[in-house]
Amino acid sequence: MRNFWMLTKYEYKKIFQKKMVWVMFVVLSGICFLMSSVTYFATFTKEVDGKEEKMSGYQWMTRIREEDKELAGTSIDEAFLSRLKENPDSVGGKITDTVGMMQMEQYDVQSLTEQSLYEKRLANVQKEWEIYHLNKEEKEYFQKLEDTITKPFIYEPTGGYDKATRMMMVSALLQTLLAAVCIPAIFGDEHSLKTDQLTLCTNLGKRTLYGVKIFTGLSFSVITSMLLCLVSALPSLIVEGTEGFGAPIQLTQPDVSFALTVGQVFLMMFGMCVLAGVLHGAVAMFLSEKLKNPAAPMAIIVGFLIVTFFVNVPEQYRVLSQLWDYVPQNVTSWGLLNVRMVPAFGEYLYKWQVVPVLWLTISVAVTVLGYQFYKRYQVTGR
Amino acid sequence: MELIIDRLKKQYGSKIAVDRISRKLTPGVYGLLGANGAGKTTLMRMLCGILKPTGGSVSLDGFDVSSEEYRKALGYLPQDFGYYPNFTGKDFLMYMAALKGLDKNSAKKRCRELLNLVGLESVAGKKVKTYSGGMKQRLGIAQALLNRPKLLILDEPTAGLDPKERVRFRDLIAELGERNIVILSTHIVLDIEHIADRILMMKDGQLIFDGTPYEVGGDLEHFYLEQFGEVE
Repeated sequence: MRNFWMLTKYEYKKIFQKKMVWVMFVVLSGICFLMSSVTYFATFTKEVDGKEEKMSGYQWMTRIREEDKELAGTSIDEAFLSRLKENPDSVGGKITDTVGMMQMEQYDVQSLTEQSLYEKRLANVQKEWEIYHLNKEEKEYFQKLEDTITKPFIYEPTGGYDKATRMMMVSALLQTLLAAVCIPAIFGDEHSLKTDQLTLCTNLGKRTLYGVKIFTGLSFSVITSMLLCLVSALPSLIVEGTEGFGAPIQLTQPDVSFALTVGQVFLMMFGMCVLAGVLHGAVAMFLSEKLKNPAAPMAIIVGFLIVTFFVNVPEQYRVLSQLWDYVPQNVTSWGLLNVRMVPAFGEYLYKWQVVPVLWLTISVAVTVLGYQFYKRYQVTGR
Repeated sequence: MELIIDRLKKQYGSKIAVDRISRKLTPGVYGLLGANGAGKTTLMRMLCGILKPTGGSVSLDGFDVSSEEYRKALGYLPQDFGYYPNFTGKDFLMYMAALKGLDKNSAKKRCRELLNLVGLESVAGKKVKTYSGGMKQRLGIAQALLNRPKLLILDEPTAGLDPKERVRFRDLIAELGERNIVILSTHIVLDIEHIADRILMMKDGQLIFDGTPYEVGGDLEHFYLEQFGEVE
């Protein structure tokens, strides 16, 4: 496409000449950074070796990280539980968090045995199957997955990946706001500023310019998604470490049956956040061209985001609730690893396999449809 | 070079805005006169391809108005000219030059030429939102000329220009009309009285007069008012 990069430069210039874009980006980046790192700056009073000691969150996490390294290779078995019962304070790190999550109820070490601990975990896993109304074949499938998980769990440090993954959920939410505010203007402003009369009658003003605008919007969305994710994730990874990429996900999410590692889930969440950015960008541009307005798409996207906070489709409506589960906000929250699957070609596709295809298909579809509206637009009513 | 307008029509519901106009235009300056609501802007938008006709067709040297080749040869200044407020004058022209297919070096050179031509070279680096109405209009004229158009359509181009600028503009249009088709709509009769090769008058979507200034026979303004029943 002729003059593609030259036109892209000016489309980006239009975006970055708006103060609102800079203000939003700085504010949202600040929120991401603060949410992920404020605990490191706070001061805590902790009991260490029987004495109360004041330390910063950073110092505390550094200590936890050292303790975790010492606990690497510890089997969460009867011997470990006996040690924990005898002297709970002798066990540091995050291993007790793992034991607590396996119980999923009030933390009670004294009555625990290795068998009861893993039975409680399995009961929690099976409870989720019932919540999501899995059928018999699906339950058998997950039972087979469960059988491949090595028990007792061998503890490994999981570094900052768990927190980094959780923080990226926040950045995904904030990126939706950024996309809603910044992207609709790419098409909407041409109509509100009446420059469409000029651009549409130039020889590159239809197909080429449409391609340039789509590229600008999508690349802006992808880059800001990645930046917000990095701002959210890096503090945790720097302070709490990057060891544990290969640690089983069951150490941070015990009720998951998938054979995934903590690092893989971290990367999947990063990928989902970026893809959500693509989807939001494509939809924002489609709406702004369809409605010929930069403000209405903003309202629609933010309104939809608010709806996802309050609306939940009951699980007994399997298809509807599964579709609702594929909404970006429901994927980039803890919904990524739930037990919903889609049967396909004799196999089952997991959520993180279905979502990229679904979102990219929708993005392409609205982009193609948007071009039909764009090239057929007529300047009237002025 | 020939612009063929063949039974061009635009209808909105029961209202006919442009009523089956047919003309063959060759290089020259065509002054389009008419009252508000006569259909001038609607006609011009259809000639630019930004408004789809209800019927009829438009072609330039065999290229239909919807084609890229037609748009390559077109320069358009709309009546309510839109701009990007935070772009500088130079940014705006460079962007429009890129849209018109000029490569970077040609665009820079052409922008410099046109900024000099319209007298905006000293404010090229300032944001368009700081320009006066007349300066914005001159910028609009400059962008219409970027691609050396064979077909130049100007809707009220002298609005906001002071008398000196209007004279400069008329001279420029007269020169362009020697080799290209220039269609110029205006309420200011004086703007076209001395430069138009043909006068086209529109009323209620129809062309009620198509003739040379000679056929008008003297005072164009008087003739115009006569056609619209303002003078007996």
